[in-house]
Amino acid sequence: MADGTYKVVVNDEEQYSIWFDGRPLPQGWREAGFAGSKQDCLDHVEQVWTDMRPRSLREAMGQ
Amino acid sequence: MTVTTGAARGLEDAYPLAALQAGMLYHSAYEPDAATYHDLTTITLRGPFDAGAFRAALAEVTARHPVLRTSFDLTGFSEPLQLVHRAATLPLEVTDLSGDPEAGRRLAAWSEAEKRRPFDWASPPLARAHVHVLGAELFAFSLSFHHAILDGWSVAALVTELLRRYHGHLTGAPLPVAPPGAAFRELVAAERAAVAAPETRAFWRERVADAPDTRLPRLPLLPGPHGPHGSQGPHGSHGPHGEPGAEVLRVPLPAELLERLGAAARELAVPLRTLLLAAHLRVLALVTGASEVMTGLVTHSRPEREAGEEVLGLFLNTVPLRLDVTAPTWAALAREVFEAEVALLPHRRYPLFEIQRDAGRSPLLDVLFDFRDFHVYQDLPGAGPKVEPKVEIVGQDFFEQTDVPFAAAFSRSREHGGFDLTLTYDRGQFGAGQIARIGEHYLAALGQAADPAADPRPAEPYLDRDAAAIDGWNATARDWPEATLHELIGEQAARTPDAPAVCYDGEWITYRELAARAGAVAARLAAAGVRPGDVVGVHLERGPLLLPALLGVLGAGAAYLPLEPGLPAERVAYMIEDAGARTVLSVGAADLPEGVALSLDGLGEEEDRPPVRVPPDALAYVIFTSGSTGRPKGVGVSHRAIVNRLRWMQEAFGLGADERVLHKTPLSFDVSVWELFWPLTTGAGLVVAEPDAHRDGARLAGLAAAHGVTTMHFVPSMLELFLDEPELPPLRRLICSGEALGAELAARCHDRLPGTGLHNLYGPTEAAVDVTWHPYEPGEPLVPIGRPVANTRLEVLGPDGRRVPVGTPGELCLGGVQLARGYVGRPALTAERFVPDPYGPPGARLYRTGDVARWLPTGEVQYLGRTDFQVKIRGQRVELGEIEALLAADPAVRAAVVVLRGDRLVGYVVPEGDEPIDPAPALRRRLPEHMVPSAWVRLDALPVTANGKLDRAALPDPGESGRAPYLPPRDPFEARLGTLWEETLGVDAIGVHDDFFALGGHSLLALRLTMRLRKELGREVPLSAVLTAPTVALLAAELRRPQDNDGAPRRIVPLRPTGGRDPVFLFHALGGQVFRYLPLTRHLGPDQPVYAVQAAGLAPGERPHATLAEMVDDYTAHLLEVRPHGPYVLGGYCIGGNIALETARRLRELGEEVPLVVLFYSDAGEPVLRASLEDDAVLLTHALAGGNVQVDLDDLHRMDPDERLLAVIDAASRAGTLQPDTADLRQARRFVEVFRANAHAVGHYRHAPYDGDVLLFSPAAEGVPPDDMGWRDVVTGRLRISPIHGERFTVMYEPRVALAAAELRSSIDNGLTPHD
Repeated sequence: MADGTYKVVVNDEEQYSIWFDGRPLPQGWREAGFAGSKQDCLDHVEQVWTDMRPRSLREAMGQ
Repeated sequence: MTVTTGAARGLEDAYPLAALQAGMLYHSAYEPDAATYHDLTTITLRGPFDAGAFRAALAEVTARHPVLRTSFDLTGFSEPLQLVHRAATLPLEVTDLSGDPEAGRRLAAWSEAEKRRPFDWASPPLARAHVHVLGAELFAFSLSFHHAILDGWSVAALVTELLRRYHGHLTGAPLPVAPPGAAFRELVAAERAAVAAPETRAFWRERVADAPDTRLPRLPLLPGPHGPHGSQGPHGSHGPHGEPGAEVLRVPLPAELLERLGAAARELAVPLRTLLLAAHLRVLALVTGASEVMTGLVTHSRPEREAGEEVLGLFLNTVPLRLDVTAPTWAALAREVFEAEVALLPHRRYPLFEIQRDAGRSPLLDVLFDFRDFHVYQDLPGAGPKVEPKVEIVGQDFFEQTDVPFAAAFSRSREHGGFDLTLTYDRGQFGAGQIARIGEHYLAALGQAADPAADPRPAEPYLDRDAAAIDGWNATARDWPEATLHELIGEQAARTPDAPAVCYDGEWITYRELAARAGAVAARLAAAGVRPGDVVGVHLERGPLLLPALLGVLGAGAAYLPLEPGLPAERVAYMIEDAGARTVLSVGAADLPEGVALSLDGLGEEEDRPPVRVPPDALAYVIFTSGSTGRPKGVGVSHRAIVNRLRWMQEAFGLGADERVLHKTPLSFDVSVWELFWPLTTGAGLVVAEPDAHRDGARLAGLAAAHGVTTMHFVPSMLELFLDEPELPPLRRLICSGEALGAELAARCHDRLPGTGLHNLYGPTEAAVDVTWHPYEPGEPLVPIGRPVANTRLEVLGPDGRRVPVGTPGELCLGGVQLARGYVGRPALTAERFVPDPYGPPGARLYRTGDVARWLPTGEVQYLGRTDFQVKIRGQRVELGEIEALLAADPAVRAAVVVLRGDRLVGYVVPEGDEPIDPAPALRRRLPEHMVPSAWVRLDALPVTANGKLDRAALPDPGESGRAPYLPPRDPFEARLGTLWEETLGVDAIGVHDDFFALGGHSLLALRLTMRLRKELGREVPLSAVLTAPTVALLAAELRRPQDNDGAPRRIVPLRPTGGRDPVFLFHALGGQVFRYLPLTRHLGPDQPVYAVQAAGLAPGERPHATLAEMVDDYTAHLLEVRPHGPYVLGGYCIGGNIALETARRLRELGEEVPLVVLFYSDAGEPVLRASLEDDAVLLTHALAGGNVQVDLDDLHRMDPDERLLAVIDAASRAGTLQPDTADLRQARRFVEVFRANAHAVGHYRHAPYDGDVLLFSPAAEGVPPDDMGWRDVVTGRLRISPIHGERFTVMYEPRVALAAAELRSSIDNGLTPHD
């Protein structure tokens, strides 16, 4: 991904990623409420994505 | 000497060539048979044909235009000149085809032949005319000419003028013949002025500095019309490429489109040409996958006045135009293009040749843009007021061949007045289907460009057909039931409990036993507190416990983390910590962090253990890969992902229960995962290679053959070595991955193993081992990585994250079930590499591999390289950044760069101070061996480009620095080893103390070296020998050590067994070895076979010969075995000569012919120094130190033999004169024994007279005739004595040995000549 502005996005499995700001979001992803430079977005992900297990696995494991 | 003046030769002018003319002429001189730059235009005309009127019109045109009277002289003057003759006749031939039903075909055949009829550059004009009369009112006029005299505009002008004049003659109103108001020589002068202008040179230099390549993608040659799999992509019509040659595709532009474009151009206040050029650049960006592109722009440099329109000549130039096409609107893009065009206008006469030369790149341009608006056609007679008889053009064919691979030309159509697009391309490089697709892209781009407000950047408008094809290729869905890895194996164990499951060291265990042992491990883990979701380290060598351990970890609901015992402890500790493993399975005492080790010692079996329920999305394993920021990263892969991979593999290959898979890949390389578990999910057997065997091709081949292995994996570089093995097992399939598989290697593999399927697989650790598959088909010129495996999607995306067209390189991105969960404990890194998939199912992610790849029209993917600085070393991923980061963390290092050169890593280090630094030991503590650079270069500063970026290309070759002081080989054996080292490492002048690994050697190269040694020396050399003796000196010593298992040594050593001449046999001297004869052998030439005879007693348990007679008996018998009949040439150094002479005598007695005996410093009177025979202490000093050692003989006499030996060795080694054959005491003792025996066997011998021919090399001081060394009394045949100047042994060594070899060769050929 080239330089520019990004936003933090998250899917139904609560997996985080980043996406180009100003471009329509791919289906199944929603905005996580943070936009900025690529590095800022990644730093934000580092803060908020604390359990990297997919949501369905967390649920299957009863937590 | 007479001088012929121009006038005398009938010349009216002479001037130099324009650069383009010179280029064209040289180009056609290189390829005289090709049609390059030989142009042919044929115009079909309606109207009467009158030969007289036509000839008159031609003559007028020729008289008016100097270029039609021009010849070229490339060599007769100080620079190439064009010579304008006062008079010349443009030849006209007329062929009447009227009424011929075959007229069209005949005309076409004539055209083909005409294109290949060369011009004589010395006689003007370089043009010919031909008229084919097709009917009463129809004829075809063809003009063929060398492109060096006319450009397209000039042709149009010429045709127009010719037809107007013809019309004038037909109507009785000829036009006046006045010279044109401009001349071609003005262009030549203007061009010279441009070349001389510094600002113009600077302008172009700046323009092309770091310019992109902008090469259109070349699709691979396809074996059939639709590729090997019969699948049709969007380029389905794309057929096999043809011979090189120009092909033209006409793309008509709809009038409505042109109208809209014209309106848009007017709105933007730019010429239409600018908008067309903008579309051209957009298409280039699309098909190259780059946002910045460079095209050639054809420019016209006609004189800028009215007369410039009608002057004939070659006024063309091509200049580069470079632009980033990421402007947000077509309006903005068009303005940028226009500005770029305007900027280059003042500099357009600067020849392309000079631009290329300044840039140091040739060819600089792969594509051309040409805009041709030849409005001169508007003056044609048919176009003006109608005057009968009418002559009008009804058709035109233009053949033009250039050396630019692809040109897009927009030309004003004479018929409809609008513009047509012609794409001219080299059919040797592009297929018609690919060009047709590019033509569609032009239409799409032009359609977009007509709307100035539109965004030119999205690729979607161009990719409808590609998108449909890609979606089709990605339709890989399979509906397999959910399962975990150990469940699959458990189910298999329940089905076939007594089948053999795993074999280690010849011992098989059954599926039941395996399951029970795994159960015991799981129980031990559970007891230690391991819970589902944990990560458990496995710190084990390959061995009997490995499979139970791995399955036990899975059975406990945990993911396994491989920790190879060979890794540095610091790295192991980091991985344990980073992956959050609290338990590590190991055996014995392992170097592990406090409190994590759980020993498997005393493991039993535990059957019927209740399974722990594990969801399929739980992790099955965590494998660490190199990380660019200096920290390796753990990739967590789920059961779901790896189970899909194994199920796909079984679907694709159908492994049978009777089959065996070899496990040899290190656990930290994820290939090991399928090796280990695929056979166990199918009921087949797994054969586990012992630790370190994976690098030893012979061991692997033996193991595979012994156990009936049917499937093996190789990284291509290891396959290369494996195929060198003389005996290969009859495998059913070979799986390759980890590195690009070259077609050459694949073909070689097929040749050696024709019954073995070869499969190329690709995938990163982040996507469960492999995601693509291509079964190799013999004869393929390129081995792609293939199609996606089951439940897997591939996307090739541009830097903007959007799809690129089929055939265009981009970053390969992976989607589907096999994606890893991410990097353990690295949310940001995971979010960066695992991104939303805009083309996949909702919520899906794509993993960005960093690999550059492209779709082929067949639906397969071709791997092209990397986007970053990740490299592969023997299949293992290495981020150079990881090594650089560790180096930079060293306070003694100011800056560091690591690059891969060939197959070795080179570290470039700028130290902080003046002290010498050695960063390697610190790296070894933290990195696996293959990641530690094997060569180091110390720099004062890192080289940077003009833009201040690191200039990797300017980093010096490590060959010249960082080496120990050069110490040349000290004897022929060392020299021979040194040569092998140099060839293996690709490094020159290797000193005997240079370290193999410091010179860039690594274990693979070491293996290659041992294989070469085996070939060269004819004996087994273990890999360990190179590892423990990593210098030439050490290895030489190691290899000289007699091998206890060597068996009987060969008496006769073939130094060069090949060649057509009668062989030369050379006999050993006192020490018994024969390596001293290697330089002589080399200089005797490749056609001269040479055999050496070595002494008995060198091998353990062998007794030296006691007498010369015994030697002669033995040696003659061996010699007759090698060569039953003469003629024989015999010789030897020192006593080798004495032995040779007596062997010659024996052979002659047997009736064989011995034309020559050659003696190097052999003495007839005193074959061995008498003192040596009389005093064993003296003999010792001679044997061990060549007599050059200071010892007190009296002291020696008082010692016992072993003490004496040690004393001499000690003294000799202190003096630096110790003979190289005597590296250790055991060997020295044997050597002295042979030396002593030989000395006594020959020392007292007195030769009887010998009546054959003898050549003697004897020492001589300058100016003094050489001594006969007693041979005059022995030799009654011819004796030639040749002097040796200097020390006696130098006759066998460089450089003198060359002279000796030449003299010996000449004496064999011509017989002996009288004494010097």
